[in-house]
Amino acid sequence: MRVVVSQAVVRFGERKALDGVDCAVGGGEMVALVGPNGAGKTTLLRALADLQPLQAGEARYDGRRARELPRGEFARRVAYLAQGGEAHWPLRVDHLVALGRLPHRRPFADLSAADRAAVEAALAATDVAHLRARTLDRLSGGERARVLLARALAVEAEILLADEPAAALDPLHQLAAMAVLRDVARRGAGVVVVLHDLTLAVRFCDRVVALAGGKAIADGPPAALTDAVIAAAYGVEALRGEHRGEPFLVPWRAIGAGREGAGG
Amino acid sequence: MRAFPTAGDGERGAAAGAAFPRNWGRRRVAARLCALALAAVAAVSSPVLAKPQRVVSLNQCADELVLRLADRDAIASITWLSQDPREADMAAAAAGLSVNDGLAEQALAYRPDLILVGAFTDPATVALLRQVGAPVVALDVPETFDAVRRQFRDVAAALEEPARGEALVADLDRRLAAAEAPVDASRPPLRAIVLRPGGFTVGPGSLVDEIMRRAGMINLAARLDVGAYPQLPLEKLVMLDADVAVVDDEGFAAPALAEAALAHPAVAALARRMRFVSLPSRLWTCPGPALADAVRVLAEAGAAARRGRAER
Amino acid sequence: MTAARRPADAGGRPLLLALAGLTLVAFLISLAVGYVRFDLVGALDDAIHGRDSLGALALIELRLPRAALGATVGFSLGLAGAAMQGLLRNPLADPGVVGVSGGAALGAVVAFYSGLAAALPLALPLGGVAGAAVAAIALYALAGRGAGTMTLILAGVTINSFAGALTALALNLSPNPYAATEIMFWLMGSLADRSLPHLYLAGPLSLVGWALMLSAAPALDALSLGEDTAQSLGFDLARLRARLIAGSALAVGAGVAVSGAIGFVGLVVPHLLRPLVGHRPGRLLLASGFGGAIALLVADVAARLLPVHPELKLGVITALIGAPFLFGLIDRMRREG
Repeated sequence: MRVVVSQAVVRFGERKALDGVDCAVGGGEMVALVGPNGAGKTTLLRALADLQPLQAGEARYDGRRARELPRGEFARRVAYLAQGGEAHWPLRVDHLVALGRLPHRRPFADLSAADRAAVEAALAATDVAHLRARTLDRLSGGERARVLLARALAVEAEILLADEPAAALDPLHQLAAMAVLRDVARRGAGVVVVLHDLTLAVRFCDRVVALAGGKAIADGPPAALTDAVIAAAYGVEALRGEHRGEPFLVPWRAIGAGREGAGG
Repeated sequence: MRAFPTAGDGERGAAAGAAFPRNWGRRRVAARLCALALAAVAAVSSPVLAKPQRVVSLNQCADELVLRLADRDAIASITWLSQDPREADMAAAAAGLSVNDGLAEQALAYRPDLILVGAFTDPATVALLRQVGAPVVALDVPETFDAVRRQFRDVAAALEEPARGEALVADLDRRLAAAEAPVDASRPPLRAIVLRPGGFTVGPGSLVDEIMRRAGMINLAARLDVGAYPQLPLEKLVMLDADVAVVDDEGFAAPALAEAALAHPAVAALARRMRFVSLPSRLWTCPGPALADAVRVLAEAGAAARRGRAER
Repeated sequence: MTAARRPADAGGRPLLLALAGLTLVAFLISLAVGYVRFDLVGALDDAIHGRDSLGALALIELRLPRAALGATVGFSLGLAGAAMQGLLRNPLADPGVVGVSGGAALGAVVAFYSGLAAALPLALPLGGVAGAAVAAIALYALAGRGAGTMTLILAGVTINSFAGALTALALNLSPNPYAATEIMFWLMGSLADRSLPHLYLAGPLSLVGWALMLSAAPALDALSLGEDTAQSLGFDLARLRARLIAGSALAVGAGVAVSGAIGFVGLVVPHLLRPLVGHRPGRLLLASGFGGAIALLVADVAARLLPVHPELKLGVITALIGAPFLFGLIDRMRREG
């Protein structure tokens, strides 16, 4: 599936959260959505998921509007992982991950073999299979984040939209999560990830979209994240480098903070 | 209790002033002394020497007795309830009289020389009236016909109309004699139960109980051990297998749950097996000649019930 | 670790079957308990063969509607409690606490004492439904959309106070002198001397309400992940809210119209059963329905067996158990932050 958002405008009261943003994602690619707080990343992601009404512009899915697709079909083909990890009742891990199969299940039917296989695969991919019988209130923040990611993976959707999936994770699991998402993209799904970690963005993603003040100031391969773009978006200088062919990009210094010139 | 000034005081004073002229015979002295003594005794024994001229009733049952026993001119005020058009006789008699809502301030505004209240009139009202010095007579709720006769006589005495009191008692006795069911030792009394709104019945030892007895019925509530708060679940009513149901249904036009209970399908089904007789509570809540009507209504229903049973 | 192991099915069919069985047992006990002992089997036999005996009359016209309404109203209260807790994502939601029962009582009182229900019997439960719907919509407007516990309770207190005051006013304005004394029935509830017509009035509307609420089970499961996620899983939130508000208004409204407002069943029952269904809001619905039926039938049996005259109102019994329970619940929520 190919999702295209064109000229999206979203206003919250006086403030424009998105000001004429274009963004597209298709199968097989992994897109990083970066930018400072309040730039409109979550808003754009929600627009891609058809959760955000647009004051102007539109979102099209394989050329069609969301309401032209049956609800169930849309839910099977587009998966969304919300920021913040809200999960209200202390459900068991396996039951929570199984919620990702709701779009595939008939209303009161039991889980089918395909459902169970998807759940198992999701549990394994996020390394929470050993926690399957635990309830959410007994998990650490990172474990909980992985369980919620597993839930989104269980949908086995063609488009996966994840809002800061790595935020609460320790380094091991951050890398693992990004690897899982890249794997999902390699197998044909389109993945959009909102990230704060620039290294993860340039290392794992095929494309980077940088937002600032509701506008897209960069959209292209990781090289599009130039010093000028980073300065305009974050107001920081970044340290670039490469290790064994993979880039890293580390925010180093606020612009105008120190007297020394930019480092190497 | 200070008496309200009446016309008699001035005369008494004048008699005393004229008691000792210089040349009086011993017989005249004795006569005057006797008159003085009698007046003193009368003043001590009853606070009001003359018949009450401004009678106020704050209670519906007292209204009826006042209307029957007192002169119309002596009635200052009765309650608004006595003008209820459903009681045609009383309403006609009460027409044109000043009405009150049973409140103390209203009563005192009439400057009464006799106030009649009921057993359940607000005790605060009664205390207030007594404090201000108004003569208050409280009527209790009679539970037997003897108590009813006693009440007639007591109220008549308070109104200084003893003859009318006796006449009322005689009237009641005459009507009762005509209404009562003849005692027939060969026939067992009819088994009856009273149905009041809200699932209530009437326990033993009350006036209704005696009315039923005089009509040849026996009140099954006595066997049920209903206690002070006689509520009758419909299940008990059904299984009682009574012959007669005495229904106290005021027939208000506006609905209430209490009366809806009397319309329950189980009660309607019972109508096939027992005789239902309507006996509105206004016939028996206040002591008066209407009590005999209540007996008559029940006795007639009882006779009809026996005929119906014989036919079955 | 075995691959593709079936997730343990807590609160699945065995639990539901057990609850359904207990409901049937409680129903039969309620039929067997009353103020007079009579031969039940004989009465049933008479009734089946159309013989006009007193036992048959008492069984069919008095005990049967009482037990059936106990099960029906209890099911409605338990189910509505679970549904509201799922929708509002708050374990304190209950038709009584949040004011839906109070609204239903007001609607029923207006329909009954104005004489409308005498002219058109269906006006009684419909009045209850209308009152419940208004209260539910007001509640959602005040406290829906993820409002916190405090807002929810305050909204409920407001709606309850207002509805209660209007109910007392309506009763006082009735020209029938008995009306003013009947407020205890409406505010605390009772199943005494209910009739088959009451069952026919409340039953069908309750069934529709149950169907609407039960159909929301998968959506409530999804809603535990938040509104955005639930929507992304394919659930129309506006339709969900409408279904749950309409369903609870129908079931609670019709029930309160014939039994008065009975509180705490919708609070305690879902709370007790939640751990047994793995905290899943969807599964909790049907389980709470049966649980509520059992609870109300037991309370009604207790009301008849307790040596208290006149018969204790059902709401008194449920409040005596439910209010301390609510205390404990609030205390635990406070300690957990």
